[in-house]
Amino acid sequence: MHIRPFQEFKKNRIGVTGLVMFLLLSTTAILAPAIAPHDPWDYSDRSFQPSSMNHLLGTNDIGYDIFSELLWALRTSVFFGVSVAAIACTIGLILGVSAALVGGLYDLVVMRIVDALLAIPSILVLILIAAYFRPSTMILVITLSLIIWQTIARGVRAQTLSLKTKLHIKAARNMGASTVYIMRKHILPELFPLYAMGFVTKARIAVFMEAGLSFLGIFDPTTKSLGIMMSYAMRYLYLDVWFNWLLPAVLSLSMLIVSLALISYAIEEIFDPRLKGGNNAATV
Amino acid sequence: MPLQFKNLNVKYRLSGAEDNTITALNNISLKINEGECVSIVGESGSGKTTLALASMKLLSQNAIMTGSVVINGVDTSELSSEEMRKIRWNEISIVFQNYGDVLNPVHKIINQVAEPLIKNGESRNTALDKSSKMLDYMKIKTGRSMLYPHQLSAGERQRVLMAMALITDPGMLVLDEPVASVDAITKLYLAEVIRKQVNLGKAVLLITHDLSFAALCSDYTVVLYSGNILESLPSEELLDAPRHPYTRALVRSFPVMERAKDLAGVRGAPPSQTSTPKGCIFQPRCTQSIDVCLERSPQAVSTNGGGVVVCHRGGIATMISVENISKSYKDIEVLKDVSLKLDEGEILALVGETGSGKTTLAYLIAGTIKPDGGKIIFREKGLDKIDRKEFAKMVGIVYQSPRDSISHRFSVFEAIAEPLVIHNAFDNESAGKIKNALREVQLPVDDYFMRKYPHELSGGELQRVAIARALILEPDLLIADEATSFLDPSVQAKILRLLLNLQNERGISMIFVTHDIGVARKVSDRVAVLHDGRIVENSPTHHIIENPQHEYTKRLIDAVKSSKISDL
Ligand SMILES: Nc1ncnc2c1ncn2[C@@H]1O[C@H](COP(=O)(O)OP(=O)(O)OP(=O)(O)O)[C@@H](O)[C@H]1O
Ligand code: SF4
Ligand SMILES: [Mg+2]
Repeated sequence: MHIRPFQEFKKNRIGVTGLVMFLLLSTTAILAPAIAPHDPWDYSDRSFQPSSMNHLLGTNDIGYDIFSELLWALRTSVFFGVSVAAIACTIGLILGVSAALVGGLYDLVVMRIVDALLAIPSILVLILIAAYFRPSTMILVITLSLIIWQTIARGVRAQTLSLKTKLHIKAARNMGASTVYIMRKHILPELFPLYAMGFVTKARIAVFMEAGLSFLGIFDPTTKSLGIMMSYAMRYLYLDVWFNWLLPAVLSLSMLIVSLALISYAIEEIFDPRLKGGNNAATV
Repeated sequence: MPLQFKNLNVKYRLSGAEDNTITALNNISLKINEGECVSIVGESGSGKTTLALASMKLLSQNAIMTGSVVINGVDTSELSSEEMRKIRWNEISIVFQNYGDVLNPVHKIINQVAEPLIKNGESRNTALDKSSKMLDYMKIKTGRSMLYPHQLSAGERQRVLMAMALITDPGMLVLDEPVASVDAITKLYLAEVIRKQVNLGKAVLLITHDLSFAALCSDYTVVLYSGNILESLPSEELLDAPRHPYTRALVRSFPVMERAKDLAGVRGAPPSQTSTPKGCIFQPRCTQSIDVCLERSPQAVSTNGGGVVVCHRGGIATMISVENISKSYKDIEVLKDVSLKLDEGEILALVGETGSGKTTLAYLIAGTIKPDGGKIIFREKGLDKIDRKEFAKMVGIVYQSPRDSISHRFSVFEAIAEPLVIHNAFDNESAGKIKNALREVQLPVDDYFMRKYPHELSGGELQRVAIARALILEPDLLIADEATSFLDPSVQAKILRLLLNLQNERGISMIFVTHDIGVARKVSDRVAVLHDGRIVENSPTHHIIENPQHEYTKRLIDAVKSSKISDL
């Protein structure tokens, strides 16, 4: 059955809701430097102020404007999620497709790496690396990308292998098409649901990981982060700061993760038959 | 040597300027031995009658003849008209094409037939007696011999002329369209008469449109085209193994009872006779011409069939020859030592039951899979040495399952455009081309239809989209794997007609894979029957249908006959 993904997505209420939420959050994050009322590293003000017109969510223990800090922290989360997803997807896509098309020893090597990465618990590895090396955000983005691409590669490879045997692709080859043409016109479009899904899933994992690591305090403490905000807010809960400090951070993180979850739910619903790994749905 | 033409040229002077002539015969050399019948075939206006008239020195006033006609060793150009008159009727007699002008309307036919004898000095009674016997022999009923020409039917008059020609028992006979207006049974009888005369030692020059009559009566057939001999061949090969593209086109346009394949005319029209082209005279209508055909006129070369063909390529060229191919998938041997030839412009049906290896053979020829052993030659080059992209341009493939062979992401328009895109040939004219292709396969050409996706089309529509896609690059070879299996009879008939038309107009060759010998019979020139990975039979289609040799073929045909008796 033929699927036109964008039309289908537009009709999917859950998906649209998720996408709108995500776009709102990320726009806010991108615009943080412009719309934050205060410099979030400026501690010149009094600490523990309640909400006011000047400080919408009050100030924290060392006098930062919590609202501004929240915007910057959201920025970190979105940046982290999107970059990790983009890098992991690119690696997964390139390795998966090439393994399927090239085959042979190359395929074998790639697949062994995939198996190895599948075997090790990525969260643990990341915690260890972060705790031991205290890397910068960029390094951490890359590290995380490098250990979570394997599921994408595996899915892409399986799908490409099955596509390779499809008659319409053989037909194109028999018409004299080059590999580049076949990739562009026949394989990549077919893989779209796979990497759309992979992108959203990996972004969700990355956002969650970043928040978790910084909550545990093993993340660059100078970076604004929802995890760090939560962890500090927790320390001062006895001062009744949960409403203006903890809750906004928790809500922001949840909304970001929920928005991504909604999108992936919608994608799954649209492409369901084909996400189950290279069956005939594409051509039936 | 009773009758011989040596470098005979005939031009007709047309009214007006002195040098305003047309060439009716160009350098004809031909001999007819005793006890031999040679037939001359060719389209109307090819010079057949001119040849007949030249043999009798009866050409009209405006004819200019060079070269010579030799009768019994005597060059007729040296004879006076008095001497020639003696030879006529006694040594060589003719049955004219236009019988109406020849018979005298005021004399009874019996008298007219007797007349040459009386002129020769026989008594009136013996002459009339012989005449009556001869008319009997020609199956003119006794009473009717007393009638006048206008009281006879056309066929009867034809036989009267034949009687006139035979009455003096000449050694040579020239028959111009002797069976043009007689029924099949009379025709058979006349063939018998002619054969008998030949066996008695007469030399017969038979001019006819009727190829099967030529094949039946004559020993050799000479193919005349616009005054030129293009081929001469033993008559038994005329219908089954013509060598010249023109002869094949003639055969294809000729209705033969056993042949069910639809007829196709010879494409184009005969050339103007006022100017002689530099190259091959058939070139404008030839579907396999090469550069040299435009530059030099071809020489006659002998064929292994015992004939002579005038063609730079030695007659119909072989497009593909498959030599001792074998192919296995895993342990299963699918094709065993298969050899096969496909001529330029030929439609070969590959018939066999499911799993007999038809598709495998087709794919091997298409170059999409490699054989385990043996080789495939395409236009004198090994298939493995031909650039894949170049080859792809020349070969269109229609796959067995249209739904799988077209990407579900492509609209009808995109699907048909794909080969153009791949070969960087998509330009402003492409949209028009695609519409034409759609029209040819009987599909709508509106935007709404062209924007449809495969899942919105029926199997038959998709199959036609696939056919359009296979033809969009104007390939030289079309490999069609069950191309009409999804079509209803009416559309199927139209598609088959389209394919035949392509064969005729573009000279496209086709490998038509089908399990349906009934369809094979309608389109193909030849049928190869595949059974258990071997070709068990490979002959002209009507032979296979009429007279299957292999047990398996017989079963195949019986199966079709019993299920589709009305269609056959
Ligand atoms: N007397 C004539 N004057 C001028 N042109 C002629 C004359 N007779 C024949 N032709 C031309 O010579 C060419 C050969 O004519 P011919 O009668 O030999 O053809 P044919 O092969 O017998 O045709 P058909 O099959 O129709 O009988 C034709 O182009 C015809 O027009
Ligand atoms: S191949 Fe050339 S020479 Fe032969 S018939 Fe065609 S045009 Fe004439
Ligand atoms: Mg004639």
